[in-house]
Amino acid sequence: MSDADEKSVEVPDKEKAAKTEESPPPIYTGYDLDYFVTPDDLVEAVEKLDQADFFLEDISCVDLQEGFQVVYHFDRFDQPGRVGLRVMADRQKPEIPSIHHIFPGADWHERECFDFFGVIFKGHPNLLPILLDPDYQGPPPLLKAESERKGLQDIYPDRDLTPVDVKSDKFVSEITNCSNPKYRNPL
Amino acid sequence: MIVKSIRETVAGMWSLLVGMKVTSKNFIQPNITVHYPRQSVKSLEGYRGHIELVPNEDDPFKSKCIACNSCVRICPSACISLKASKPKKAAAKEGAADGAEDKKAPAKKAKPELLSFVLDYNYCCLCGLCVQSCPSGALRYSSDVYLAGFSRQEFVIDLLARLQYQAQKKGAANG
Amino acid sequence: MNLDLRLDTSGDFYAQKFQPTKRDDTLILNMGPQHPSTHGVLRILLEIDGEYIVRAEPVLGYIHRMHEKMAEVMSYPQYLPNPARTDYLHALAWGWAHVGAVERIMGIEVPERAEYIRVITCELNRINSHLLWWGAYLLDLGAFTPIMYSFDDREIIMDIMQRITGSRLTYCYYRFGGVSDDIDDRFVNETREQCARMKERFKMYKDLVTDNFILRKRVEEIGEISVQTCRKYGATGPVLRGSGQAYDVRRAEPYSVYDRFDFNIPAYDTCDAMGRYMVRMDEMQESIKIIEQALDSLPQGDFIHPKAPKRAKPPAGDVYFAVEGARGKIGMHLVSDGGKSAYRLKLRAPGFSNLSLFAEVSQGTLISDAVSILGSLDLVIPEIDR
Repeated sequence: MSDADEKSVEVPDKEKAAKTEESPPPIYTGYDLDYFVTPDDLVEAVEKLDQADFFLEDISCVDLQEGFQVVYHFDRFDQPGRVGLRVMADRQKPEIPSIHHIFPGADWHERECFDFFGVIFKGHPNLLPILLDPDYQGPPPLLKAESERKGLQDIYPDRDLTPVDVKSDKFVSEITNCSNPKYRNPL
Repeated sequence: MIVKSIRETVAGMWSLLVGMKVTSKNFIQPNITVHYPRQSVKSLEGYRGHIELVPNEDDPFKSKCIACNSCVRICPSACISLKASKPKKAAAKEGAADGAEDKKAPAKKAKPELLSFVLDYNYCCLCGLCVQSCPSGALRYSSDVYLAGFSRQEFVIDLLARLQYQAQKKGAANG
Repeated sequence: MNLDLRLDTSGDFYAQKFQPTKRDDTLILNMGPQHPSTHGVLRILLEIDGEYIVRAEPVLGYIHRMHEKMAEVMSYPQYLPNPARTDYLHALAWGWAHVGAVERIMGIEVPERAEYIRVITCELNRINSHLLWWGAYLLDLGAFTPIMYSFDDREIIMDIMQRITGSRLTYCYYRFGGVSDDIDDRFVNETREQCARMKERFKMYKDLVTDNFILRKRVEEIGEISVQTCRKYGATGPVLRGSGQAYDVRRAEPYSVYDRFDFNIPAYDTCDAMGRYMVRMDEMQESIKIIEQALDSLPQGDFIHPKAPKRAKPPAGDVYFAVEGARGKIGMHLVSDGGKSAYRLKLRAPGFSNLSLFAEVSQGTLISDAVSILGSLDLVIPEIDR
């Protein structure tokens, strides 16, 4: 799951790509750590990131065949190292716990996500449209048509999609040391 | 306490005097603003106005455009539309895609002739991607800064007609 | 004719949601969306007790244009002019974030000269942005003249940039793998002259405004934001640096060639509006330092990679690319499915996070101080609303 593992996969890929003269895969993706998290574990994972002095950059969302992938980006002031948390929300019932009580800044980001995709953040005190007109009737604007929707496998080929165990010590030590040169790829 | 507040007041007044000095210094400087209708600025070099067609070296009434449509495809605002006569020999193959045309053009077959090149300047965002994407260098920026009009229609510009008008004017001036 | 205006007190959607309050001696006031101090179309719902703010809630979306949807409809090169329209004051940094994200996912190399040109133009643009903020902020506080001086300087920088980029405000200059046009000796000389001139001007600005005690009374100890508040809300840029945390993407996550230049990251731990003011004033001088170093070591070579793709078609995957804009960290989360337009492009606007702490910070302040706080956050509404 960590970038260190990814890198070891990427290197042979790159050599192969050079041979076939295709555009090589990116070396540094901007993520130092990148996890899939189950919706139930999200709040706990965010609490641990909060304890490790991370700040919330933004909350992004991607519409996929499997449902909505909500991506939380975290970074740190004192040491660099971006952590991405990916949560899959069900399409029929897109509900994710709100992290508003941990990071009050998530308030607006969650409202924006609700606006554009219709993802519902449980426990949000004020889940109103933020950027769109409150009178707007119709489907959320960034929903993809059924035919255009891609699956997780199309976008993240050869990627382990199993959610991380948030309770494990490995997770905590990885996020605390995410600026470790071992994890940090050279630019 | 009183000493402190007096000192603060004096320092504050002094800062105002220093500011006044700057103001009065600038007061006697020459005027730097330009009164537009009576004067105009000189620094217009590099200004990117709306695009215009580059005339052919041999025939100033014709443009260098080869009607490959790459500017039409790249335009983010979709404000360019062009019409071209189909090359006569290629006309047999009807339904040939635009992309196929520029492959045919270098061959000996008749080149497509540009019939009209219309720019809807109302929607243009002046990014310059069309000029960059043009393979034959047929587009450039005009430098008409003071363009103004009363209706939207005035900014739907037929660039080919404009080119021909300019060539005519130039021809009349020369001969 | 119904002259009883009190009947229509329910207001619009947001005002209705804002209504319930336990106190009956307070007043609900709309500040904006046409209020001059909101620099555009920001609306703030205020619950006021006399002149004091009890509650504040910014209402956004008045200039929302759905740039994220446009990214999914347009092809990659077609989207190039768009980022400049989000933050029109620091347009080049946004353009850089976009081209940087595409370059990162495709692995496009940028020639060294192009990187230097990008640094020089982006820093010039940053100075321009801060100068406009400086003038406009003082205008908010009631000082009219400084904006005239700042526009005088801005004009010269815009003339320099116009010759190269072709535009004065919403630049579309960066391309995948380089920039659209090369710089020449005249640009280098003019930039050097302007840098020398700016150094003198900063002294004048200090005498005229920064030391002025009327300004100090309006900004000192106003709008104190702690580092913890910044962290909780994700505030970055001068807002964070004005709280004493020297965090700058150019140093923390060095992109391009920023790691080759020697510059300081100004930080003031006064946490108030004065701290944020001082950070921006110092940052302009640091930008001049960077520009001068870049001009001194400007390498020869291509201004765009000869093999730069005309029609970008990145491989599937997703990347995050962050740059330091004049208002803070600009981030682009680009998800590609291998097609010719982005599958998803999320824009992280620094102003969005910076403004979200306003509700907390403005509690208990005077309305006139809230204007000072808003100005010190340096808001550009089109960037917040995207």
